Amino acid sequence: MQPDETLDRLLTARLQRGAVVAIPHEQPQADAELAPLLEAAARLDPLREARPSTEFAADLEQRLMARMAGLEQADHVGQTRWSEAPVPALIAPRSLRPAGGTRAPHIPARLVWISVAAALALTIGLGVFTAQAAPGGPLYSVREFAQHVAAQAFPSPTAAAQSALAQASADLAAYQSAIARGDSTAALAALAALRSDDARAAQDISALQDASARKAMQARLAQFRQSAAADLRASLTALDWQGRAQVTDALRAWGATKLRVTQARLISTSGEDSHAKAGGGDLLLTVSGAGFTSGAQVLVNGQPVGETIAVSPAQIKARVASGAVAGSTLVVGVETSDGEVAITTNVRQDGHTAPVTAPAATPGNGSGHGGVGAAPSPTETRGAQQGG
Amino acid sequence: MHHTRGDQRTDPGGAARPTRAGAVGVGMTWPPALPFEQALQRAQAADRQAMGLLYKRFLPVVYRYALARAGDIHAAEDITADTFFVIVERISETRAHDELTFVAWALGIARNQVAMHFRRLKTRPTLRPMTADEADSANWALPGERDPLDVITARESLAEVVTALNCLTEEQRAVILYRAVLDYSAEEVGKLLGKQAGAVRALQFRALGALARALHTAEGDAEALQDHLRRPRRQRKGE
Repeated sequence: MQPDETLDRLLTARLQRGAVVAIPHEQPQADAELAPLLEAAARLDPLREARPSTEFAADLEQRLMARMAGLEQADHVGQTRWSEAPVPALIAPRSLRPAGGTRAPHIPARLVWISVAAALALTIGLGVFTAQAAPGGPLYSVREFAQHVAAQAFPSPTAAAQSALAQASADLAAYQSAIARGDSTAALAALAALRSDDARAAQDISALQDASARKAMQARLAQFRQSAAADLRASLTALDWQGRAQVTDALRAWGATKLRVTQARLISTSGEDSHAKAGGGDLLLTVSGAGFTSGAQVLVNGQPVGETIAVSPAQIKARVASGAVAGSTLVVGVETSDGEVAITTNVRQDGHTAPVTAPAATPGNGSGHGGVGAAPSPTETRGAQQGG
Repeated sequence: MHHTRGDQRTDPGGAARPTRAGAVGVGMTWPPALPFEQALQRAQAADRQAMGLLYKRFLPVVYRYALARAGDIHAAEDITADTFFVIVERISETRAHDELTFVAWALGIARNQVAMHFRRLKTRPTLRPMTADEADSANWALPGERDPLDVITARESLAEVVTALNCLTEEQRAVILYRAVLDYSAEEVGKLLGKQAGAVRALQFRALGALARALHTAEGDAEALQDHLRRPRRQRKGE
């Protein structure tokens, strides 16, 4: 017999009889080995015979029974609450309605929840229904409202940035579709929406706390802008000079072009009073800015005028017939050989600021410099006032 | 319960079994007229009488387990009370179908309560010396040990045993407690721990050996300390 079996047998006998059982003599070697173990087991006798005091046992039993009674009562109350309690009616019966109508009507909580759910479903449905609404269309404002609600409902910064970028992609698709249809008005509205969503995406991305997520989203934004810039450049020929100016403004905002016009100055070459030369004398038009390249030409109110006599990256000089600058409104611009156009209304004439009347504002054009239809920027306005 | 020894041992806690000093438990005898399975079902149906039967039957089991782990009567009573409150609240959720599986479930709750007790202490179990009143009121002190010297001896012995038990591994401690304190057979301990009976015997052999060594070490330390104190101070300084 193995020692562990012998020990177990001896231990069982000991536990049953309550006394140490003699180790069989046929296993004398087991005596020295098992005796200490049995002695150790015998040391556990106080624990084996320990029992709780009568007072403790009775007190605990009483507390347990009270606890059971409490649980039983709680279960009974719970069943009453959920299965037997009357369900409040959505609309109270006529007999229960307050007479006189002076008290404020009680609105059941269930009705409130149903209203909230209906409003949420309506908003989501509107978002889905107007997802394909093109900028300038009748449902476009509804689409923007649904997007705003969705952005408020899902406040995750990454999700918001992704949503804005997706909207910018949709705006670009709408722009290309409008260009293909020859609808420049819809195209420019889509361009304005594109710039707005792009700016929102950039803002959301910069607010991301996670550096890796921020870098990834910035890479996606840069890739989108590169692709969009190529598409916008390809569409320049389909737009008039004002549209090209808006597209160039967008390209400049993305860093895709450096073309910029800051101011223009008309100088009478004869040194006589400009008003006297207005009948047909030559004028020197100096346009200041950046990104001018060879082949660029000066535009006045969208029309190429005169002869370009000098071009540097920051300045263009052209001789202009006085008849070309006659009129109350002057918009001076520069058009590159690529079709990009930058314009300004900051025009000074022989020390006098030319009368400037800004055209009607175009929605969505947030650029201060040169955008057709844009209100003069504070800088431009200040320059005009100083010139006067 | 798997009655491996028939009806001779209806109380594995030993409460109803006459002790070697002739002491009898606090009347915690399992009624043979009511099978355990029926009592459990009735207790799960919030029958207070059936719950009272289960309580009386398993109170000594839980109490001894708690005392062997905590080594303190008050802590053992707290652990026992907390364990039974959990049992009362969750008895409808237990999947126990016989006495042994119910014991396994109840001792699992007790083990969690012991762990929570030690967590509250934020340290390993340390034994607080009992006061004379506590030792006197401790029913584990046998009638023959009412002598103050016997009480002190028993108290020190219990402290040594519990300290030695806490030096064992979890498995070794469980086997010793189930087998030598709660009086379960090797087969029953195997079912409680999910082991074969042979593995339980082998583990029991190693566990008792480890316990004997731990007790011998503790006694050796105590004797060495006593010898040290018995020597003259001058001789101690020269060491």
